[in-house]
Amino acid sequence: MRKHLAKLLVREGLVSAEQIRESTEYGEGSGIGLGESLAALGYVTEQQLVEFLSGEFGVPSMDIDACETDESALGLIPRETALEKFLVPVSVEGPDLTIAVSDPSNILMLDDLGFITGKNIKPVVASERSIRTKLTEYYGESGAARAQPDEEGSGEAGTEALDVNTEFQKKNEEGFVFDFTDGNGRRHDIPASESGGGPDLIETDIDTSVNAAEESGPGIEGTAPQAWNGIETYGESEDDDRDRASALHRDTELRAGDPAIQLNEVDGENAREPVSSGRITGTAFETPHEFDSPSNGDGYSTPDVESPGTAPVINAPVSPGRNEKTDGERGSVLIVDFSPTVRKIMRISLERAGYKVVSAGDGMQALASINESIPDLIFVDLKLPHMDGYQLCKVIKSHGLTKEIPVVVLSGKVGVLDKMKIKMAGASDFITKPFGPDALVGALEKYAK
Amino acid sequence: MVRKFFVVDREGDNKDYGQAFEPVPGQVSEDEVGLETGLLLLLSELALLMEELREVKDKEPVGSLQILSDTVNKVAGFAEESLGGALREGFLPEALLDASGSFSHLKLLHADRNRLSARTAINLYGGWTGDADGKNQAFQQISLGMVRVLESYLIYIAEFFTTPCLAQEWKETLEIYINELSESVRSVVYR
Repeated sequence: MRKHLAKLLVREGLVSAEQIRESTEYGEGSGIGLGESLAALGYVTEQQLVEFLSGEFGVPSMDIDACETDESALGLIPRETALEKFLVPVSVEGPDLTIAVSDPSNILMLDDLGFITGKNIKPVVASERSIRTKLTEYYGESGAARAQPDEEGSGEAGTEALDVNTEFQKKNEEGFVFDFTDGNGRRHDIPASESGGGPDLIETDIDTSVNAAEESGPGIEGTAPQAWNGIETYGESEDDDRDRASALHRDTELRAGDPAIQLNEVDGENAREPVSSGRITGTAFETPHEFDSPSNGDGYSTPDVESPGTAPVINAPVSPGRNEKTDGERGSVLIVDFSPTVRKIMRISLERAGYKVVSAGDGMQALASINESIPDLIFVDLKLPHMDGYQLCKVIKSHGLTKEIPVVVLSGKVGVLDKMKIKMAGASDFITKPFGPDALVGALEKYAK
Repeated sequence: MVRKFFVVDREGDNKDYGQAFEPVPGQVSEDEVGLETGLLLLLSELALLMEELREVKDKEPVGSLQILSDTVNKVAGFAEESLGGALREGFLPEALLDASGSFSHLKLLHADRNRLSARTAINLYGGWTGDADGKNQAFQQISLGMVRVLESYLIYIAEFFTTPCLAQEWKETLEIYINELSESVRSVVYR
């Protein structure tokens, strides 16, 4: 079971970090996986684990103990692959190959299998013990041959393949910084101060914090820097498996030191309340609230896809504030879609329903917009230039101040794998295109607070 | 039924076209509300077709001809359904004829029972014997001609909004769509 799945179990309260640590040690000693170890130590039953993973990833579960794999399915998966990936072929029907896995989040592995076999892979979740038993039965090999380190090391497992570096910079005096690496290996800070920090910037920061403190109450300044530093050591991109259990333990502790939580404790207010204000000026996005190009408004030309480096510049440290609601306004929404047409029709639909709408044509603009003002919900199209919707979602969900914002994904086609990727990226839900106004408003009513 | 409408200008600010910068509620008829709801869904469908066009253009450029004719037919169907008897009879052949004044190759397309067929053009694409530049030019003309037909339909539909701010907003919205589609069509290289 991969590290992030263990984190998920802890986050969802199925087990504690301590139980994960103990089970990891137990598993290393006895050569079994974490799922089996958790069950062996009595922290959770196999059935609970299977049901949890099935529900989390929208993948059906199956009792493979009670079924026999047909020969044609067995013949499609090489023995080495089955043992290495810890999976059991179940059946083949036409273009579909059903396989049983204990970790349904390993999207890349499933993609690989599709490529190897030329089939549509339909995963089902089964317990580690059942899979081990079947592997032994079919391949005459001890299930203990399971290659756990491959989980992360094979690669770019799951959405981690998206190459998103969500570490946050230590130089928190620059304010609220999204830092990510795009698909071309280019690294971006959004927004990144070009003034380079330094005394002036720090002084401005302090001033802003004081102002914010006067308005919002004491204790805001000083909490964020500690938290940023803490978060820097946390993150899915950390690829060392040297001490998985202690890393998990540390992660859990760090969550308690998350800036949002600290702000809550100090202020007794929602962490998404304004901390300070700032204004983005600069190269790409002149208008403060509408991140579509000023030249095209909500359309007329598509965003400039060739200018990922033109990240906005901040003059003063910026921390996001939430849009203030006015009478009759139901909340604020950020729409991220490449198509000006889609942005426009979504804007019409949502404004008619009383929502304040900001739109962005790509992930860069979206992050700059969030930096300016935190919306109550974000609609994200999967196909975006520079970084796709999964990446954007993951960046948003990895930041303490934005992780609570519900993200609803928009996509033309959503298959089983897409659903899993969406889930893994942390999105609340998805809407398939085409959609009418009701689908959008329904999502807002369901998820926006 | 009375609904409150605001128009959003290019800077994203609420704007009333009668009294600048002051959003003013207007009386909007049931018919307009219904037309708007239908158009929102229609444009969502058209945007998806446009996405397919972008996907297909590099792999199989001829596929974009089919997508464009499907797009025209979808809008033709919507116009019939939502406007009913208010839709001029023979609208499609007329629009096709008008557009062929600017895009002469459009005569390769046929309108049958108010639906457009690109079959002849698609067949011609496969059997093209002329030079590559000529081929690209001819099929670009046909594609842009179909966009012009589409534009005629959408302008006609938008005229059914009688509330000024609503009419203006939908005129702009449909322009946004037509411009985006035109840009996508121009990026297709028929080789």
